[in-house]
Amino acid sequence: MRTAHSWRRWWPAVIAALILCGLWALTLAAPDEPIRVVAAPQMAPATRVEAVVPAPNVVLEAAPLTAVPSEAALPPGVTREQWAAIAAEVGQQADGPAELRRLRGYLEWSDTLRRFREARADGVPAEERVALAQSLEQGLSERIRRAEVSAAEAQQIESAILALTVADDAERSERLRQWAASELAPAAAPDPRQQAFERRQVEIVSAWSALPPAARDRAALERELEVLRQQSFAPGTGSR
Amino acid sequence: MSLKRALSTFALLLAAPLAQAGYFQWEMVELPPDTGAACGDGSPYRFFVNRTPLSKDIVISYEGGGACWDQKACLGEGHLSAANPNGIPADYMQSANVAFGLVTPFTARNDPAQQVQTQSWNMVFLPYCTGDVHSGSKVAVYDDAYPATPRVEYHRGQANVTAAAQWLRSHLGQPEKMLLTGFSAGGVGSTVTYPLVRGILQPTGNATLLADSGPLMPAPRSGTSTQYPSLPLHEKIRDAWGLDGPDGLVTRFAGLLTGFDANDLGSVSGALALSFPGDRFGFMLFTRDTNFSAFSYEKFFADIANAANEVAYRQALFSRWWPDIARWTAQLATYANVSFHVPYFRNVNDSHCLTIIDFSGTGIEAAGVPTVGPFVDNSLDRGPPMRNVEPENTADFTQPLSPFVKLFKLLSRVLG
Repeated sequence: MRTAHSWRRWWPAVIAALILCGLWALTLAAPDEPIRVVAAPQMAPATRVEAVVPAPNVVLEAAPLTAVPSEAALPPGVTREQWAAIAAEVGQQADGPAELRRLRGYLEWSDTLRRFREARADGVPAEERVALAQSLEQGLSERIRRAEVSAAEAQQIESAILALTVADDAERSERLRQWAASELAPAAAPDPRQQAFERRQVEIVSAWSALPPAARDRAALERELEVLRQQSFAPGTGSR
Repeated sequence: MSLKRALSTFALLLAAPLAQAGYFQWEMVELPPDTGAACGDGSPYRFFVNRTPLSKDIVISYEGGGACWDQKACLGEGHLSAANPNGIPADYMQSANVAFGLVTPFTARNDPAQQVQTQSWNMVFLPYCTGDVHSGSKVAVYDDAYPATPRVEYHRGQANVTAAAQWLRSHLGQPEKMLLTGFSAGGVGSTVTYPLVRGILQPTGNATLLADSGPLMPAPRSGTSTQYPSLPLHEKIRDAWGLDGPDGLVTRFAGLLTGFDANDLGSVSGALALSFPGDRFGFMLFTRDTNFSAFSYEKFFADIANAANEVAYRQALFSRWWPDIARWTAQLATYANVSFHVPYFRNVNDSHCLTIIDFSGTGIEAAGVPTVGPFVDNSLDRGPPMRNVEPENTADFTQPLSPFVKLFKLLSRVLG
């Protein structure tokens, strides 16, 4: 009895000590700075209702550094530990290698943009910035196609490039307009759901408006429109 | 949690982007209709996210674009109307048609002109399509201009912002630093929805507001429109956008904000400062802004609407705008965690908005502040609050602007 009593008294301390030892051992194996990587948006399984709680912060343990290239071969602006964490996460995807190549290409291009901006701010002569501008321009179409820059961002970049080579404001404006017409997306086609929704909405509002003013129940109208909206645009009904 | 709320929250999980975008790519999120989210024309509300694996900080940028409380303005007709009356297309970020509306360094990770520290953060862009400065909670039927074809306007700004924030929390997790920013209507929207978004995201680090050219001027209901020229506007939008309804923002502020006076919409800014004493609130506008001032007064004062010429028009506007600015900044200066930056004039976009295109021409030279950039950094880095109002400075009329601003002006003229 005494032995059993003694164990009940001390077992919490023993377990706590074991946990502390485990944590200490982990610190020996972990890198200096664990890299936090934000969870990727994913479709939640329909049955996992408990997943409606806020997502926990995801901390990716760094991948073995043996799989990471040398410092010189890293994408610019990324540490070995960060690249290892990215590789560990992205590598799990079906298109992992291609996605890593995309990320590398983006980071290299983005670094060129940074150097281009800094050269301009530092007053580096225009002729010395032309090479950077050419490099930027070569990658810009791909950046647009991959949605890595917005249309507005791309337009700013192209105008900065043109500013180096086209002195006249009017001509630069025309060149930029031509570039936008060829490189940026035209307006999207109308959403077919919207047309059907608006047709039915007109019917509902017309019926409501035809009532005597005293009989018009604004709250009832709002409820009816809301039902229509939810029927028209529920997930899975297609979009533009 | 009520069944309705649980279902709508669950629906948010299904609001996945159309294409699963990777890091450093703009992805579109379409919010399901049962969240209450909608554009003014009833179409689904869409917003855009650009994630980075290198940071847990988040900047959320609210788009501007006028406001509406009548049929023509909600249809986008006239110079005082609301943007995007036909909703937000899925390719909004990539389309040439809307490119100019989106130029701000806060949504450009690769800006060739302007560097901002938030360009390395996770970025969120909230487009504007509800005509209600992202704040409304009402479905209105406007038939004042075309009675035979009424416009149903879904003033659902509050639901849009709330559902977007819930999606961000569910899919990106809890951020460290958080910046809410916006220009024009987005400046107002980021201010009035700050407590909602902050409450949902619960950032673990510094939380900051930078509201550009969307001031909520002091206007107590006990006063008159002569004393407080923004009062008629505030009265109009409270009704038009359902701000006093059961789920309206004014009603909700009673439980969210310390020091909010429901009889003065202008008390929101100070109430934010009192309610979140560890946060920083920065406000910006130009003294000679003839856009926000026009929205504030033109439809409510006949001497402005019927001004004989441009000079008389500006005089009538500024006779109200400048006293409003003086009252507003005097009130803001009483809060320890509030800063403001009010330069005189910039020769683009009617001196409206400091953070669009780039920061050139936004300085207050007499105070040693070359552009609004140091103000932005100071607010984010928690320096001593900067509170500068530039006195009349005619040198601003001829100050050099960046090539980007000049090109923007030229293209705006060419493309209309």
